[in-house]
Amino acid sequence: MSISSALNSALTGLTATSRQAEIISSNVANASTPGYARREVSLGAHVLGGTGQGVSVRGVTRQIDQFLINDRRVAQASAGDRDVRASFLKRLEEIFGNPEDQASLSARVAALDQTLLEAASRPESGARLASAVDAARLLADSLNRASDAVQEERSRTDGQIASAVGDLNNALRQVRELNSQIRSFSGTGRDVAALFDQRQQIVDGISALVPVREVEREHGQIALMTTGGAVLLDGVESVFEFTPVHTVVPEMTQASGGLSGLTLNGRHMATAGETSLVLGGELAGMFAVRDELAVAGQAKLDALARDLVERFSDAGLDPTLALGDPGLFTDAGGAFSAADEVGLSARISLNALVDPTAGGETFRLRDGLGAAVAGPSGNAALLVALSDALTAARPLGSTNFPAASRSLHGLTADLLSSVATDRLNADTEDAFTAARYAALDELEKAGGVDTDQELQTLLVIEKSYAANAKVIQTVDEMISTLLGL
Amino acid sequence: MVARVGTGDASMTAILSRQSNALRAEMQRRTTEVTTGLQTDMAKAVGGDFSALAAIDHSLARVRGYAANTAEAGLFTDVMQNALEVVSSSATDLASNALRSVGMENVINLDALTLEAGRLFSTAVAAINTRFSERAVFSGVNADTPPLPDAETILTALEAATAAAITVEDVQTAIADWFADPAGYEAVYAGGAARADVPVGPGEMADISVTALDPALRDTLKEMATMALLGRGLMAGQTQARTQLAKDAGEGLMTSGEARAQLMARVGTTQAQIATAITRNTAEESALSMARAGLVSADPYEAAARLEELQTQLEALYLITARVSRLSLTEFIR
Repeated sequence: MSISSALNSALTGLTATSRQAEIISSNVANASTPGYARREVSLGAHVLGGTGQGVSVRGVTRQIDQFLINDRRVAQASAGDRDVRASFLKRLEEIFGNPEDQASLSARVAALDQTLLEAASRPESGARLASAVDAARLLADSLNRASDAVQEERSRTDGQIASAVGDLNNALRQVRELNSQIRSFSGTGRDVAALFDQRQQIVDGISALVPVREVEREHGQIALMTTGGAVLLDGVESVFEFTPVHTVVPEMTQASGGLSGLTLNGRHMATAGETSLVLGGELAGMFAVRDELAVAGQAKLDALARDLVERFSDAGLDPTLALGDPGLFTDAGGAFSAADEVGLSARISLNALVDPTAGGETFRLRDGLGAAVAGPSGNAALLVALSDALTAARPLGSTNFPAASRSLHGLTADLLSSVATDRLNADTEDAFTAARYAALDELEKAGGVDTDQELQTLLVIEKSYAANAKVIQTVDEMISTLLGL
Repeated sequence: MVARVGTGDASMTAILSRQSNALRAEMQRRTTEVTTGLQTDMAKAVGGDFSALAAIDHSLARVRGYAANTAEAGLFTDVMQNALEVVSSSATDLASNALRSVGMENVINLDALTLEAGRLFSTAVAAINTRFSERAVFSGVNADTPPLPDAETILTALEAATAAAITVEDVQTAIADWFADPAGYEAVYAGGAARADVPVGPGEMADISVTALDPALRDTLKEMATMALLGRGLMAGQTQARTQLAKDAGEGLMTSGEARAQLMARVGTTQAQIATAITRNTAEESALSMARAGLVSADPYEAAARLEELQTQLEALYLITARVSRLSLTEFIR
């Protein structure tokens, strides 16, 4: 019966166009929704009994480029990794301070040198001695504060790792749940595109932390594995475990057992080096900050503190001191032993004997730390010797920094230079990875919703809807004509 | 439906916002450079190597320390030189008076001479006891106390030492012994060991070690004290012996004039050294400041020019953003 089949065809046309309009409205509404993939309705000729019977909606397809997304995810992970490192190194450089800043380590060293020199010119001046003692105390304080700041960064990073691991586990569980929803919903023939969007967004979140590769499984399922090869999700999700600590001190490392490592499904997972399967994302970046970069920064501070302590406790410098007595700078009040270098910058303090705030007397800076009573007030010999000790080139005691004979200010400058060079290199890498990520991200977004294009399509749809309606009207008139005969 | 290539709306937004962020960040950096005159990223400006900058800063700090030292050491040696001048002129006056008046064994002349000797001896001792900003300059390290007691105490001690002397030689030996004896002059000397050298420049030390124990000062005081003792009744009545003593003392003062001149020359050398050090340190400070400025300061012309350029770019970007946002099919199919 060809008239009623014409009516049918027109009706399928109306259905198809309204479905298309629905999808377009969804596209336009989500034009700026992150992670939303543009939908398209795929149409096909409806065939019934070997003859065309209008149009049928074959399904709604999400327009994505999986290769591009995978590339973008790896770029995103590595941008995150580099960003974490560069931010820390920038912070470390600020902790050392640039020489322009009065509170920087090198400015403090220069201040100590200047005040010692001035005190040597007028040893009888109590004010000069006091200002030299103040400068020495400020230098020790700056080292303490710098060390605390570095450990604070480690502690903060430790907390961030814990929350990142929590996020990762949550995200993996959500992906597993979405996987099973997609399987059951697509079995019942419902539209699962929104679920795909949601899943893609969650996987994007995971890929910021660890670089993941998405592998398609049947029935719209996905498996996730890191680019290093660790399986994060394949049917069931893996579980990461990490235990944060409350306070981090310089002696605590992952190797010493003081700080937690990472486990994957209960098995130890290296967080650095070739055996690690989770490298290349923010998570690995944070572990690198906590276990490598901050530890190296602390070692530099400790090397400086050690040089400072040793310079002023050299035998023969202060004749009133017995062998083994602490010098002008002490290791938490006692003498320094080479085995205790780790964390020295956190413990270094001015010898209480000269520190008026700790019950000492400033005249001991002039007369020797062992002096019981004030000696001749014009005696500048020790002050000149202290000033010389500060500027003399001395081989470095610590093995944590290239050996060379340096003055104290030379060592400070070399340490700062090495920190600054690291930061500049990290900045360059950071800029490179960020640019790569931005480029891929823009490419991906270019494939997203274009409202102009959607509206053009809408115009076409409007026309075909009107045409289909016209067909129905015409068929109706034809039938009426038939009925009116 | 035929697949067509479109450009996602989000992509355009991302591009525009990234570009405007980059421009504004650069603008902020240049604004800071123009206002502070300093490079914003110091590490980048010095290529990550802070050793040159830190060395300059350290040298600057030291030069400032030296500036304080040279100023003080300069004043200190000036005061020292003035005191020596006073001692020397007293000694010279006394010597010429002695040699002029002792020729005729005139009692009145002799009395006048010994009276003057007492006064000039006090002046010389007071000059040696000069203090500069609460520091006794000839006391060595014991800056708190003046090096010598007053003239009266010294003369009293000398009277005791010469009480048993009968002949002119006895008196001269007794006085000479007292000035050389650790239990005599050195015992009344309240100062300490010589002062250490003061650093006045890189690797340069100024010698300010002169104390009241210096042989030139000691000899001068010895001869002046001899004449002053004559005024206090030493060998009273023995005009010939007194004349002899005054004459010998006058000659002694003449002879020690050379030693005093050498001492003054020694202090003068230090003064000259300090003056040279001040000039050199000032020159070094300005050279270092200029070198430092070359390292850390931003070129204000370049920064301002770039700022101008950035403004143009940013305005253009805003214009494009506005135009592009209006360029939507939605606007035209109403």
